Amino acid sequence: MAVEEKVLLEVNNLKKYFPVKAGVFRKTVGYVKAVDDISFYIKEGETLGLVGESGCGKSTTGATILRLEEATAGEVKFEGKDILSLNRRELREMRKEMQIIFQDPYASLNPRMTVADIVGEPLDIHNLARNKKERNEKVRELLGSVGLTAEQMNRYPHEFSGGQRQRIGIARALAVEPKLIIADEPVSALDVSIQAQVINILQDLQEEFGLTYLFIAHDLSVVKHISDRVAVMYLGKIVEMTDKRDLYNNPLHPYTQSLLSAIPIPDPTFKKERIILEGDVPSPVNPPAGCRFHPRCPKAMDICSQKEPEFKDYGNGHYAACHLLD
Amino acid sequence: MILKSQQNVNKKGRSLWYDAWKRLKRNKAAMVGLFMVIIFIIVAIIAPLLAPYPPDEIDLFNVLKPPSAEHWLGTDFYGRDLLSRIIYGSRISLSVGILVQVISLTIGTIFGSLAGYYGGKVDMIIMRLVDIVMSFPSLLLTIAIMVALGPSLYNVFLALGLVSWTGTARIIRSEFMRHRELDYVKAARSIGNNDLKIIFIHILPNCMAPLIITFTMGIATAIMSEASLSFLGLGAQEPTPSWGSIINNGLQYLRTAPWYSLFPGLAIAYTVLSFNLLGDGLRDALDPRMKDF
Repeated sequence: MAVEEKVLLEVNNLKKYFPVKAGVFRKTVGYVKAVDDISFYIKEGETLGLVGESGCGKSTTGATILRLEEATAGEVKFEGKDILSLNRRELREMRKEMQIIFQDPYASLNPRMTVADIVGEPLDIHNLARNKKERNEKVRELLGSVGLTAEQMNRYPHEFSGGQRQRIGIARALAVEPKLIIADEPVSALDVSIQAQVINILQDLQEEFGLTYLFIAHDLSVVKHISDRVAVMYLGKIVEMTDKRDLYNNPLHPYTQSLLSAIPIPDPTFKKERIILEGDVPSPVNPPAGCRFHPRCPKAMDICSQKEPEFKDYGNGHYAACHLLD
Repeated sequence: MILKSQQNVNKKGRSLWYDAWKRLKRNKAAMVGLFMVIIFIIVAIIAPLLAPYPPDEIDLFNVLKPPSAEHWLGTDFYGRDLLSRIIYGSRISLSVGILVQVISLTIGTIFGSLAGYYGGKVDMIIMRLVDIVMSFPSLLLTIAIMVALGPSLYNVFLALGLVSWTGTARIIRSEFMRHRELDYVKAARSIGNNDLKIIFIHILPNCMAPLIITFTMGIATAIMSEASLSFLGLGAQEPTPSWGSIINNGLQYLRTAPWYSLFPGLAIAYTVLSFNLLGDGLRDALDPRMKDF
């Protein structure tokens, strides 16, 4: 893909298949194609929103980029360096550049560690603090940057609320001063009132540290607020990717159109046409032939069940994969 | 006022252990168990101060005497004071209980954590080993190892440890399988921890609850097993005062001197009961989810 501005992360033809085993001898009988041949890029300092229904492979994409899961095939380039071919030592160094924020703040913090240890651990691993005093100073600073106080340092995660825990998770991710943060549904487990607070913190931090985000979510209204560009995933594939404004004003793919029609509008007099999708997301073990969306697509044609549509640029970097557009 | 004092507590950080201790304190049966265990441990430690006679002092004029003012629990067939022998026997039982559990928990934890963390082939090999050990009746396997090593107290530690680690391995394996999928482990990996650190610094401290429970319950089992082995003549040898061997000696006088076997039997029952009460309480306090097991 040709891009003018500096690209921080480039993902090309990434695939992640999980083997399905069955029987006494645990023979592989098939694969869950969680991520199936996706390509995208993130420019430095921008936020790419990655949206899709649950089970469409968004989180797996994030985990594979960070090598928390090993990719089946494809290429992930960070500042031009191929991440998937790094050895153990190189990968450890790369961990300083990319971090992750998890969805569930109740599972993402070790319950037996104090907040100071959770946030300070990355500093210890990468020798970012020369002595204990400097480490404590840095932990205090990090907690301050997410709005927590130094008195809370020696407490345990279970003494905090969900929103506070999520901020501890953000402080941990920030500790190594990364360039890219993969936010894996960072607000979907939180109360609505807390969601805005956490999102504002993420935006403030982006400004302050020049962070780049891959923001994974299943909620288009949250993504609309924070993203510069948005990629829409369906069943392991990216179906549309473009500028935020473009996507919300002129969605090309029928799946995106139906998702957008589901966003509630705070105006009871406003009447809009809702596109209601029939049926469920098909199994990623046995995805439909041709376009994966065709069994649920309101505008499906004959060709949709036969040929897979190509993911290509329809002008101004508006990428989509749909036969209707040709 | 109340709010203020609570905040002071909070500033220090209230660990999960503190919460567990508070739950344990409320459990009456567990506190009774804890009290009994503490008494048992104190008796074992200060045995020389408590025992009215040296445990192997032979007095052939006072053979097989029933309980009396001089000999509270009677004497055995060499005229040795049974109370003294039982008091000294608590040292054997305590050391068997603790050492066997240390051996078996070490083996079980290492195998269980490797199997649970890595899964796949490692898991397959370790779990088949566990299956093999488990497929023998444990007493039979212990006897076989004892026969091979020769009867002595140190071999009892080893044999019981080698037989009893499988349960721990299974528990730790299942804990690791659950924890390795949790986000805090992924987070630990994403900040650059290696496998060893994740296993021992991150996951293992979260498995302490089942480990402590297994340890406490296992002490009771180990004491029973040692008594059985000594009863069969394979454990502690004369003149070491093991409860199991005292029962065995008393067996031939069961009709004429029933106290001979009764009192060491009661000592075993007391100890096993106390550790089980404490273990049950610990299970409820440390891991409310495990209640149904």
